Amino acid sequence: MLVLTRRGNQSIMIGPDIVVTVLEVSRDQVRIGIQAPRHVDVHREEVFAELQRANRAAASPNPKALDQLGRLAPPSTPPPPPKRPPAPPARD
Amino acid sequence: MLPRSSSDLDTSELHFAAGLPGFPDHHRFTLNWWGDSDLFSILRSVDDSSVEFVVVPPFAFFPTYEPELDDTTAERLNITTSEDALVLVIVTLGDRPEDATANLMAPIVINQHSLEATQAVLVGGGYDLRARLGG
Repeated sequence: MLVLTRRGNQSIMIGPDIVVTVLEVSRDQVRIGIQAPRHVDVHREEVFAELQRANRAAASPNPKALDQLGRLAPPSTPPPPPKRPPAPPARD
Repeated sequence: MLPRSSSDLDTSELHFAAGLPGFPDHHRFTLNWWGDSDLFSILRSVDDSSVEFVVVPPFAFFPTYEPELDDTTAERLNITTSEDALVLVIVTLGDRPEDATANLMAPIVINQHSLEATQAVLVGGGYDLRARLGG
């Protein structure tokens, strides 16, 4: 890990496009500003780890579970009316 | 954020400049209705069709959900009003339909005009990463 020391309002460059700025330093917190291009996602580390885990669990859903998705109706949806068999064709 | 139907986006290609956490190299996704559902859609990677997510407009199941975007996300997606944005949440399926959960903490946000999209962690916190759809 590269370790640098900064004071408030000082910055760090990561590559040519990412700027990390120390905005405010207090006894037990640091406020950090990040400028990054849109193809770079910036997250709190623990949030990123959780998100990654959640996305991986959600990806590629099990086909059997997917089939049952139709049973998941929003709470306010009334149950569908019972299906009727089609009427027999009229005789001539 | 106002709920919108995702029907207009069916079969269009969304661009996730930063991919998604866990899938950083997947930038192109299609969004298609799932089967004949008018609620659930599948967000599927163009580069690897096995990478796919069930997504749903959150307000159907969570009517009090009020997602707020941070300024950086709004700027990145060029979203100036809530009409620009379509919000969908990723659903994780469980063994039973009622075990399904939605990620309310980090919805998928799409600019409906430009089709730029991202997964954005909401301002304020307190949102459930695994909110049960079944209630």
